Amino acid sequence: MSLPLLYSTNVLLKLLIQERFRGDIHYVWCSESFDSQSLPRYSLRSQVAPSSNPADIYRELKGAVQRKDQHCYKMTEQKLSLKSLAVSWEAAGEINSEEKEEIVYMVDNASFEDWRPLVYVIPRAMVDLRLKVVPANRRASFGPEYILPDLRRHEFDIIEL
Amino acid sequence: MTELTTLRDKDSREAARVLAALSSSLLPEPGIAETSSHSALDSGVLKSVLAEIRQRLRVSKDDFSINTQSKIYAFVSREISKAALANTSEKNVKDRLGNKGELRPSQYQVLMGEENTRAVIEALGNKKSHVIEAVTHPDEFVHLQASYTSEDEDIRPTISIKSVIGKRAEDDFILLVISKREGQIQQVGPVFRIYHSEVDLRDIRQPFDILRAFVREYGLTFQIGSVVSKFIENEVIGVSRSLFNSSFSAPKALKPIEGTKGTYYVPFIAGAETHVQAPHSEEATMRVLFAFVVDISKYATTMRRHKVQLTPSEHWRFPTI
Repeated sequence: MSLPLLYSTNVLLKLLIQERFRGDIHYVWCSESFDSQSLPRYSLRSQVAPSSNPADIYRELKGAVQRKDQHCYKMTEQKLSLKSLAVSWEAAGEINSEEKEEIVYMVDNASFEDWRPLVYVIPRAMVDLRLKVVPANRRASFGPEYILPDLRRHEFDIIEL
Repeated sequence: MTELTTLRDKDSREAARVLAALSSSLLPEPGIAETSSHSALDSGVLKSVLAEIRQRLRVSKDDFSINTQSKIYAFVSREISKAALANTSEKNVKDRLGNKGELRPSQYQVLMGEENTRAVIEALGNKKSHVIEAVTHPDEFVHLQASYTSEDEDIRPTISIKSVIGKRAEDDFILLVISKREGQIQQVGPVFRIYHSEVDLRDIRQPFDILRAFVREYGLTFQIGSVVSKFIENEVIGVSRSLFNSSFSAPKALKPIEGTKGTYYVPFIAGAETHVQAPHSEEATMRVLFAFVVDISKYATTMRRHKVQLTPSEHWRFPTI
């Protein structure tokens, strides 16, 4: 039986970029539980690896923001991801050159506050038909992971812990 | 431009695309892409670029530790910035973002350029440092933009508010600053203290609502074109071009139509011509984002009640009724 909510951890800057440059349509990687470690040990859903577990991602980013850790792995990964996406979106004609430059500038000049993590809480019923299962060979572990390529802002709530 | 020799024969746009494709191959990839623009790239190029990066970072090709991955990500990230920003200056990008209100408040430079503006701000007991603090570290702010005219002529006001705690509870106030965004600069216009004990701010949080409440208390009725009001908000009004040729200012033509003789006042209008009239016509149509006239005599009485040090009124440059 599928659970009623999906969870995704994303940084504030990503939210702002998707809102401003992608027509408020959000591409998110999500899980059926916020913290897979809190689930029964032998259940499939508990087998989500820390690198994909929303709670672990949240804790890592939150800690890095509090410590002002310039070398946080997750933050470095996010910087690269957002900048390479800007280049790819421009190449695909989805944004113009000026917008690409603006995204790159925003990422390079973001404050720690801009990297603070947000938890997206997504009622599954609203998006169930658009959920794409991440193939097993692309996951970090056995637990199920999903992609929502076109999440709209009214389809999720944001919480900070 | 990127320093990688494996990308030397590529222009900056192509180099950025190779680096973006390389990033996709390095980052966790669910197989459900956000974009499909990497498909035409040769995987051999990506391999040689990655090999050069590993060599430059002096890490072995077999080292997949988190530490090494992090170094590679940071390197590729820097190279993407160089390639993506090769055809522009950082200032250009920052100015564009500044105009759009996309910079953080602390990224703006605050200017109180005109002598008259400074005199008005200081005459009413405000310090430059407090104004700068309110703009760069506001409690709340709102960026407005007309967006119906060319970028050069567009009017881009920002309203910033900052709560200030007084020695006595009745002296707590909100400093409200209206400024104009010009690239990465915010040019300061009117600045007012809004005391909680004087203006009803219950249930008000938004800067624009606070301005509206302030004008309700201290505003004087005025007229622009055929519109008579205390506070004009987002209206298109026919005006005489010679009277309102400036879009963010205290125009002399904006006068109150109420009040007793000798009353000091400050007029303000944020708006821009809409260019629907013939260019040489004396008549213009103006989109007024907001306009008001403040009764400075009444406002000064409030400031004195709160023991704010004002410049003696004989030195004031405010117009009078």
